Amino acid sequence: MGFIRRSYDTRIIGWLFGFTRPYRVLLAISLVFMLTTSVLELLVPYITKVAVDNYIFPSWGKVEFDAGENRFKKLFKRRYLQDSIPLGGESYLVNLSKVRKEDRIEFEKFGIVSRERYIVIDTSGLEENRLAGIYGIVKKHPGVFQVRGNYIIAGHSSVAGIDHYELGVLRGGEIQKLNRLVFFLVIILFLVFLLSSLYTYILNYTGQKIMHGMRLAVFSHVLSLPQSFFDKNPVGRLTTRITNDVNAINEMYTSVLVQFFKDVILICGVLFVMFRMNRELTFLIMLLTVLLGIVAALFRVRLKRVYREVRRSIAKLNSFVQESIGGIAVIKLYQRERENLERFKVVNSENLRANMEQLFTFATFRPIIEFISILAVALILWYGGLRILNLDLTLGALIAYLAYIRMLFSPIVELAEKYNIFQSAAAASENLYELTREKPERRAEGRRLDKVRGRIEFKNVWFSYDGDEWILRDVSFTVEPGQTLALVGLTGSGKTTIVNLILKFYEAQRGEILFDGVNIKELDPDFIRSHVSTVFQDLFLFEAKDRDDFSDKEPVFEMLSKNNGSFLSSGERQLLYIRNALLKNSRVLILDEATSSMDTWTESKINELLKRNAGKRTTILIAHRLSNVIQADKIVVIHRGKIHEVGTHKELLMKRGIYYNLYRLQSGIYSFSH
Amino acid sequence: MGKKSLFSLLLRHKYSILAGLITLSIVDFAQLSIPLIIERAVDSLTLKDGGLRALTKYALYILGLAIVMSVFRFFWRYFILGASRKIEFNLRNEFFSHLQSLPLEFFSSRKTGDLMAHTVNDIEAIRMACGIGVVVAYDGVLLLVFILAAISHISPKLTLYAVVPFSVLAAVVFVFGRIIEERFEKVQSSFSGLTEKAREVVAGIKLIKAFVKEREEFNEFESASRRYLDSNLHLIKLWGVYQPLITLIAGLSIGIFLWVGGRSTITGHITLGEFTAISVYLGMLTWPMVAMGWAVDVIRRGRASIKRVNEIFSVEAEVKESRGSTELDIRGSVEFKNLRFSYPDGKEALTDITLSIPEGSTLGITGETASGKSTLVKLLLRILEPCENQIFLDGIDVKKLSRETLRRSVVLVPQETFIFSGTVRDNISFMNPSVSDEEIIETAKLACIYDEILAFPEGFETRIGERGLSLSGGQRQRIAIARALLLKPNVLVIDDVFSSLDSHTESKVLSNLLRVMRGKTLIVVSSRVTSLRFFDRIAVLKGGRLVEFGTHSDLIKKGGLYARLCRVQMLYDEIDSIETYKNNVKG
Repeated sequence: MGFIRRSYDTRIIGWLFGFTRPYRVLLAISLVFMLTTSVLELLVPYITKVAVDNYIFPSWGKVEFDAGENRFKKLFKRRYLQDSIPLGGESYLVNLSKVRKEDRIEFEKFGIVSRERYIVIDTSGLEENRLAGIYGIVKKHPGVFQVRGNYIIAGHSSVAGIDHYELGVLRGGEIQKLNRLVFFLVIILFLVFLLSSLYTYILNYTGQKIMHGMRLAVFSHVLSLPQSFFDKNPVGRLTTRITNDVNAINEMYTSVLVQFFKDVILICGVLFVMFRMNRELTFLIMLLTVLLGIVAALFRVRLKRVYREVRRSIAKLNSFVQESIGGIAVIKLYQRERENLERFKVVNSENLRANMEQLFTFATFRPIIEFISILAVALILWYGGLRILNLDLTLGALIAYLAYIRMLFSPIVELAEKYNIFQSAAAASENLYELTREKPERRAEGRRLDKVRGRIEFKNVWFSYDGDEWILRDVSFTVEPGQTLALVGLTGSGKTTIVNLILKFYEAQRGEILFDGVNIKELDPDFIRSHVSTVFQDLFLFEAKDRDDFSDKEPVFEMLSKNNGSFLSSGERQLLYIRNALLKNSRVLILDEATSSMDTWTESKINELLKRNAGKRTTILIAHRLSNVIQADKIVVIHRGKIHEVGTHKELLMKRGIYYNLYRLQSGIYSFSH
Repeated sequence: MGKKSLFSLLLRHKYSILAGLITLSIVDFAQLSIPLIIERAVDSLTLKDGGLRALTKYALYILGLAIVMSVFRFFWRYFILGASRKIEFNLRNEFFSHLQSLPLEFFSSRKTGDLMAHTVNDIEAIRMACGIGVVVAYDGVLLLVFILAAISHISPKLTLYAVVPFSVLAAVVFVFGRIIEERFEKVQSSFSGLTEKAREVVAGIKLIKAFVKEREEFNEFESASRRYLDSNLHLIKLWGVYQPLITLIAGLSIGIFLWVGGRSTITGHITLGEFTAISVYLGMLTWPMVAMGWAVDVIRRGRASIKRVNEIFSVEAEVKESRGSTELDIRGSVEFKNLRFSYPDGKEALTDITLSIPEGSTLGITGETASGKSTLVKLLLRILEPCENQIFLDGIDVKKLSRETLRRSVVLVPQETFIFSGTVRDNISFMNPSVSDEEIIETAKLACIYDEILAFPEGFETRIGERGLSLSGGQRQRIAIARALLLKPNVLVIDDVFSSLDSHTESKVLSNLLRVMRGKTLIVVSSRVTSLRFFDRIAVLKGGRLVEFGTHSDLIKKGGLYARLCRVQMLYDEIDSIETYKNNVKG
C-alpha cells in the first residue's frame, strides 16, 4: 500500500516537474545565484567579527615563557616569531589574530598569555609628519608607551587617559584597514542585493511562466472532456481547479520549495562558520537548535489541525451565508429570521472557537520559540564570555554569534508555518493530476468523412443519463439528406436528448446512431458538430461577438440591425441564433424550440424561410407549437422516451391518432389566443 | 444601525485593548533592555575584570527577561488578538442580522458572492486591522522611538548616522509598499478576470462544444491567463527588488555603523560594549520599518472593508410598519381590484386584474409561462409591493397590514424550492421551535413524501442539501409543501411546485391539500390545467390579463382557452394511462 502511494506521488511529482522543462537553465542559474547569495550573506557577520578582532579591539597579547626549552616554545618560535615583537627575555608581543585556533588552546593550557591587550604602532613606512605627530603624543604621555625598534607599544588599559583625537592619530593604521574592510562589506552588500534581486525575479518569472503553461494545459484538457464529466462536476469546483489550485502550486514553488533550499544552505553555512569559531559553544547552540526544531515540529502538527479547523469553519460560514441568501425569501416569508440568526451564531461561534484555538496555539508556541532564541543569546553571552576569558573565543566571534543565531533560528520557525502552504499545494497537485487523468472525449481514431450528405438514422436507441431510468426507449427513425424531421412531444419526453446524442454529447447504451451511414461512435465529435448547426432552446452565449455584421438580404433579420442597443430580448436572441446557424450553411440544421420566445409574425416568417430553403439541408425541428411542424417531411410523436407515431402531417391527421387530436386542440388554442 | 469605524469597534473592547497594549509595552521594554545587558557583559569582558560572576549575573538577567517576555507575549496576544476575534464575531452577527432584515428586492439586486464576501472576508479584514494592525502599528512606533532613544543615549552622533539609512528604508517601504499594493490589486483584478473566463467556459461548455468553439475559447482563456501573467510579472519586477532592497539598506546601516562606530570605538568615544549594543539595536530597527509599512496596509484594507460593510448597514431594513394591529387574524377572503403592476424596468406584468374569492374557498390560477401568475401571488404576499387599494384580505388593504400579520396568516410556497443542508426533519420543521414528531410525520404524509423519507438511509434524520443526499425535484417540492403545511396557515398559496411531480402524485397531493385546507383558503398556481379541476374557482391569465374566471364546469362549457388547454393535457394523460395499462398487462 505504502509503495503504491509512493509511486503515485512520484508520478504526480514527475507530472509537475514536466512543466519546468523549458526553464531548467534559468532555474539552474537562479539556484547558483541563490547559493552565492547565501554564502555572501554568511560573510556579513564574519566581516564584523574580523573588524572587531583585528582592528577595533587591539589584537596583540603578551606571551611569556619559562626559562628553558619546551615543545610549545619551539612551536611558537617556528610559527609565530615573524608575527611577534620580542620584549626582551622570553616574553613576546604576539598578534593573536594570527595565531591558529588549535595553538590558542595550547597557549591557554600553558597559562602564559596575559589578559591585557596591547596597541602596537608600526612606524616603518609612515610619512614624516604623521611620525612626528605620533612621537609628539608618545612624549606627551611618558610611561605609557614603550618603543621596540620600529614598533611603539602601549597597554590597552593604560591608554584610557589619552584623548580621542590622539588615539585616532595613533591608531590611524587600523582605522584605514577598517575603512578598507567596510568598503569590502559594502561591495558584498551590493552583490547580495544584485544577486538576490536577480534570483527572486528569475524564480518568480519562471514560476509564473510555468503556471501559465500549467493553466493552459489543464484548461485545454478540461475543454476536451465529455459532457457527462461536466454533469458530474459543479462549475465552481472546476473553476477552482483551473485557477486557485494552480496558484497554490505556484505559491509552494516560489515561497516554500526555493526558500527551503536557501534556508537549508544557510543553516548548514551558519553551523559550519560557528563550528569553525568555537566547537563547544556551537554544540550547545545546536542542542538549542534541536530543541527549537522539536518545538517547531510540535507547533507544525498543532498548527495543521488548527488551520484545518479554521478553514473548515470559514467554509461552513460561507455555505451558511450562501444558503441563507438563497433561501431568504422562505426565511422571511415564514418569519424565521430570529431562528436563523441563532443558527448563524452557532456557526459563527464555531469560527470564533477555531480562531481562538489558533490564537492560543500561536500565543503559546511563539513565546516558547522566542524564549529559546533569547536563551541562546544568554548562552552565547555566558558560555562565550567564559571562553573569551579563557582566550578560547574572540570578542568579534561572540558578536558574530549574536548575528548568526538569528540567521539560524528564523528559517526553522518559518518552515513550520510554511508547511501549510506545502500541504495545500500537495492537495492541489493531486486534484490537478487527477483531473488530467480524466479521459477526453475525442479519441485518436475519430474519423472524418470527406463528403457530408446529412443522413441521420437512429436504430433501436436506448439511452439513460444515470444508468437508472431510460430516457430514450428503443427509438428508431431516419432522416434522409435534405429532409425535414419534426419531433413533437411534451417537455421531458426525450426530444432534446435525441439532439444531445446526435451531437455526441453522450453515447447511447444500446442501439446505434448512423451519420451518413457511419456509426457516430467512429466519428470525431468535432467533425459532427462542425457539420451540424444547432440552435438551442435557452442556451445563449457569445453575445457580443456574434452581432457584428448585418448585411443580410432576409427581411426577417432586419429588425436585428435596427436594434443597436446592447440588450436583446430572448426572442431577438433566438432570431440572431437562427440567422447565424443559417449563415453557417452546414448540411444539418437542428432547431430545438428555437422560436419559442418569438412573436407569431416573426415565427411565421422564419417558417417561410425554412420552407423556401427546404431541400438544401437536413433539418431537425423541435417545436411546441404544432403550427411550426406542418411542413415537415416526417413528424415523430414522442412521449416518455418512446416513439408513438411517425408520418407526414397529412398522414398523421388521416390516422386520427394522438397527433390528430393534438393538432386540432392546439390550433384551436392558438387561433384563440393570438 | 450606526456607522462603524475601526475606532468605534475598538472602543467596545477598550479595557482588553488597553491591557494588551500595556503588556505589549512591557515585552517591548524587556526586549529593548537586552542589548544594554549585552553591553555591560561585553564591557566587563574587555574593560573591567568582571570574570565569571559578572557574566553569570548578566546571563541570568537575560534569562529573567526572557521569562517575563514569554509570559507577557502570551498575554498581549490574548488581550488584543482575542478582542479582535470578539469584534469579528459580534460584528458578523450584527451584520448577518441586519442582512436578514433587508427587503427581498435588495437580494435580487445583489450577487450572492458579494454578500458572502462581505460577511466573511470583509469582516475578517476588519478583524485584522483591529488586531494585528493595531499591534504592529503600536509595536513599530514604540520600538522605533525607544531604539533611537537608546542609541542616542549611547552616542547622539551615531544615532544620526543610523537614522539616515533607516529613513531611506522608511521611504522605500512606504513608496514601494504603495506601488506594490497598486500592482497587487491589478493582479487580483486580472485574476478575477481569469476566474470569470474559466467559469464562463465551464458553464457554457455544451454550446462551446456544439459550435466547435474550443479553439476560440482556448485563445481567449490564453489571453486572460497572459494578462494575469503580465500583471504578475509587472508586480514581480518591483517585488523582486523590494525584499533585497530592504536587506541592502539594513546591511548598509551596519556598514556605516562599522565604519563610524568602529572608528569611535578605536578612538575611545564608545566602549566595545556600547559598540555591540548599538549593532544589536540596529538589527532590531529593520522590523519597525517593515512593520509600519505592513500596518498601514492592513489598516487601509480594514478601512476599505469597513466602508463596504457600512454601505450594507446603511441600507434601510424592511420598514417596520406601525400601522395595523399585529394581533389581527386573517380569515382569508381575497380580493384583487383593478390590480396593475409594472416592474421597475417598465415592463407591465399585470393589467387590470379584478377577482375575489370568499374565505374558506379554493382558487386555481393557470396560464402560460410569463402570464403573470407568480407576480400575482408575490403581490399578495407583498414580496413585490402593490399600490394601495388594489389587494384586500378580509376587506383590508394589504398595504395596511403589517408584513408580520400578513405572513403569519398567509403562507406561500415559492416556485423555487429551497433545501438547506441539514436533516429531512430540519428541512420540514424549518427552525420551528415548537413542533412535535407526530406533526412532522403527519405533514410528510399529507405531502405524499412520507414513504420516500422512510426509504432514505436514515429516515427523517438523513442529511440532505449540499454535502448530503441529493433529492429529486419532486422530493424537494413535496418537502417544501410539507414545510408550509406545518405552519397551519389560514391562507395557503402554492406557486406551481408540482412541475416535477407525475400527474398521479400531483393529484394525490392536491386532494390531500383540499382536504386539510377545508374551511380555509387555498390558492394554487399550476401550469398543468387539469390539476385545478376540483377547485372552487379557476382564474386563467394571459399576457398579464385575466382572460377567464369561473368554476371548472363553467369554463369547460365556455369552450375557451381553459377548455382547450385542458383537453391537450388530458390527451397526454391518456397516453400515460395507456402506457401504464400496457405495462401492467406486460407485468
